[in-house]
Amino acid sequence: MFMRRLRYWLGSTKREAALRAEMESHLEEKAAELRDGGLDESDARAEAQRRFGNLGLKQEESREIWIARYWSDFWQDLRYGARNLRRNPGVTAVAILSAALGIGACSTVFSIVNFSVFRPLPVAEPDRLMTIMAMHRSKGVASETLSFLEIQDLRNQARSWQGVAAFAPFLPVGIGQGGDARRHWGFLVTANYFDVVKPAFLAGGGFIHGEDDIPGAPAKIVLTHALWRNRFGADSEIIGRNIQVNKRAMTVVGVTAPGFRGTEVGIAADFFLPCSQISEMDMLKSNSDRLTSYSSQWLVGLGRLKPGIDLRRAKVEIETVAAGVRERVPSLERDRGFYIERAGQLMAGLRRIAMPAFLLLLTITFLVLLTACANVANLMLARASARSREIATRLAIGAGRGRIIRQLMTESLLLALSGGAMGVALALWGGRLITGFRLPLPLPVDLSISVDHRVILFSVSLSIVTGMAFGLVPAFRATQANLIGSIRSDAGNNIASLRRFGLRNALVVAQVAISAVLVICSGLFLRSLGAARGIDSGMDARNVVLVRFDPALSRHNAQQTARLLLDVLRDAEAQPGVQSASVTNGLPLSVGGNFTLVGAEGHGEGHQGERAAVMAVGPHYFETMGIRLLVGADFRPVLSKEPTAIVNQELARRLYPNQDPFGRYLLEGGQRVRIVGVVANSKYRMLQESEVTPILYRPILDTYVSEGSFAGLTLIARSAQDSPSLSGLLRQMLLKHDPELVVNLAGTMESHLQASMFLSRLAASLFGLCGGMGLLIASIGVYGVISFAVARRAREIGIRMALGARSSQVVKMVLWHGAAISLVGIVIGIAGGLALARVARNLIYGVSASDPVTFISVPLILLSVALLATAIPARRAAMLDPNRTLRAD
Amino acid sequence: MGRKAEKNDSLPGSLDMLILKTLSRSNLHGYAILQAIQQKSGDEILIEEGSLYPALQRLELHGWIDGEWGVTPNNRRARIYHLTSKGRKQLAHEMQRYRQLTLAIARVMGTE
Repeated sequence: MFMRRLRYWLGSTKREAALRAEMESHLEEKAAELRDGGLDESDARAEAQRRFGNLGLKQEESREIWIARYWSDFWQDLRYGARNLRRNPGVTAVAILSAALGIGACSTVFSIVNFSVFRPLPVAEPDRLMTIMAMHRSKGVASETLSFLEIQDLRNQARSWQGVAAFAPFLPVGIGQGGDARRHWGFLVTANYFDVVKPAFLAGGGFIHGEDDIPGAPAKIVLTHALWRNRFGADSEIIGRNIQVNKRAMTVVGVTAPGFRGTEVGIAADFFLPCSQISEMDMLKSNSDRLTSYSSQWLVGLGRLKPGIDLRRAKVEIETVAAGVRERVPSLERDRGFYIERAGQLMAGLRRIAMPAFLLLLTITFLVLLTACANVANLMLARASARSREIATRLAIGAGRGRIIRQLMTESLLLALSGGAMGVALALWGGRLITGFRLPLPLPVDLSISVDHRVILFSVSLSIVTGMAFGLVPAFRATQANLIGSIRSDAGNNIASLRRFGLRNALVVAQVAISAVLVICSGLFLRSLGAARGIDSGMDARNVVLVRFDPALSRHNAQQTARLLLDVLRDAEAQPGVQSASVTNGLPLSVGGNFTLVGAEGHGEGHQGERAAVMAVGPHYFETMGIRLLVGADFRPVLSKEPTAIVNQELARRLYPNQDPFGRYLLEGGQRVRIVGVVANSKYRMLQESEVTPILYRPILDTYVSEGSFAGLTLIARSAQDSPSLSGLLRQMLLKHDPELVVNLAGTMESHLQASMFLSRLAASLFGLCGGMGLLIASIGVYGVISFAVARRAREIGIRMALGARSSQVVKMVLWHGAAISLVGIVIGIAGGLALARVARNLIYGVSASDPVTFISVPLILLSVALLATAIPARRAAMLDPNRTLRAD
Repeated sequence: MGRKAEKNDSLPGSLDMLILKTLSRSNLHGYAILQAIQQKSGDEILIEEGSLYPALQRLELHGWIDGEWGVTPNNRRARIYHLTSKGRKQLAHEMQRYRQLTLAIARVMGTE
């Protein structure tokens, strides 16, 4: 039946002709019979036709039998709509562009959300792969790591899983040799990691469960496609070869397929090492208990559920395992439990911070979309009123209202979908822009925002909703037209058109209001960015270069490292132009931080201590960074006999309020540490941090060499002037001391400072972009509605001028119209801006949420843009020739 | 002549049945089908002539009848329709239903 219907439809033109012939022949036969009955020629024909009924209608009915009518009408509408849109290329382009900007902005933000929450990992059956982490049962979700023993308990006791694996992200190693060694980040994984995760392999495979977990197993490594391509020139023979990792040979057993960068969203692994290699890694860290103690919690769990297992059942089961652990190991936190969620989402802790920001972004972009909708709706209204005569004629000859509404809606949807297609292109571009954003972190951040089928589905649905939104009201309005009035006179001065005009004004008011909100927000963020530039970091960033290196990765022991550091510091200060140089394990303004608890001596047992940032620094650190030393002396380039520390003012104030801290002791990590100096406060995690961070500085020669470092070391050198070649010289100097050393250049302190403002810059540029778009869209809207008004009132203006109005009065009248709608919009917008700024207060630094500069200048800017947009049609009105307009009809 | 064509909506689908029945007797073109129905009914049933064609299209779509271009007894070119085997089955089915329906109506009306 369907096939036959399709065949009928495809051959419908031929079929229609045949039907027509058949009907005509019927009429003739009837007429002939009637003639034989005695009627004359014309009467016979008329009677035959009367008996037959409406021929066109019957034809239509027959056609409906061949094809579902809906589709035939749809095609007709589509063709007609496309023709209409082509006929007004200017209007169409503006409408599509508006829709594209709006939809593109929303789709870009959605692609970020998609990246952090929805996009599954590129592995087999990703929906069965779960992240297993620890949480505080009373506080709910908190992403905390697990111990190796807990992973083993889960593996042995939980029955719902095909397998339970674990990994530790952020494992730095040096790969390569002979001056070509570079620092790379990877995961340390349990040997069954690849069996559980099931990523695709380009070559080779994963580790062997039960073999590669055991210390002493032969050293193996799995590379990602990215590392294999970038560092090994996509060597097709690499499987089974040895490569140098931390100056030791490791056999490459597999290369994963492109796209797989580990199992933690936002972090790009370059390689994977099995747990058996743990003792080969952080040489300087004590990690003997990593595989044997419940208190050493450092792994993220991953489990693959058996097919058909209910998530709730798995949850109950892991809770039983957690209860068992609590029972057996009384020293563990009582409140500790496990929780599971689908793998491939931004880690829960980060998600809690990121989601409000995403929501704000979505709100903003949605506002842009709304103004775009208002704009297109206005254009559609203008077009519908230009076509009112056509529509009225069609209604008059019997077209159903629903039919015409559908026709107009098809046009809107066509517009919206074209806009949506361009919007997807915009989202692609936006994603690339975000992917290219530099973060002030030494970490392998992966922000590969991309457009996949989910984003496209989102854009298409949004386009349809958008099309409905901006098409429905104009379509209803258009078909309500006063039939007789519309057909009789073109330049409708009738009541119906005035009412429609009210709607258009309202739409422009809404647009101006929304764009006022957007521009106010972008103004606030720009002011905030300006304020951030003015923030005193407490450091002097000029003419300071940074070079990262990591002796731990080339297997230096404590003594060798101390020796190396002393040599490097001496030689660095001997470089031409260098005023002072130092070294630290924790470069400030890197977003993250290391914190420790510091106690004052003499406080009771119950006193927990102050939470303070801790960093190890070399001699001359304060001089090099431009931090003032207030009391005491700098660290000296020798190993000290007793533990010493320098504190910043804030820590001093908290430990010993109103007392001189110099020479006193503080307690840290079970040690009594003597305070040998106090330095000025400086920013620690980022420029915009609202509270002064207490900082504890320890001498690097004493502490780094015994503790190692996560991010490696940064050599800092201040020169007299800007010296671009200095980084290269320092690198050569470092390699001279140890040709195998892992050295990465890290630019200047100034560029680091710039990067650390990335959040403010990102926010300011996003809001600036949105505000700019909103302003553009709104000014097009104002221009459109005023032009339309001038065209509509041409006759009235003509009469006024004929009666003696001067052109300046006409200009004033038109300008006043523009100013009035803009002012109403701006006032509403200010109220909205105040409300939104209050919500976004935490993201704006250094500027009040009701910043007078912003709230005065933005309305002025908006008003002048609106008047500019009004000026063109106002000029047109002033040049009207009354003679012409009055004779138009 | 002055009689108005009645829409035969009292028995839905009955036009289809009448056409099928008429074609089961002989192969006819559209106009002749109408005439045949009219004559057989003793001019009691008058069909709006135009309605015949959508009905013919519907029957053809279902595959119950088929039409071929030919020449009528009056020497006109027209599509002459014939019943297919599927159509014959359909006719039997509809007659069965028709009998049940009229019987039921007759019972209600007390005319049985």
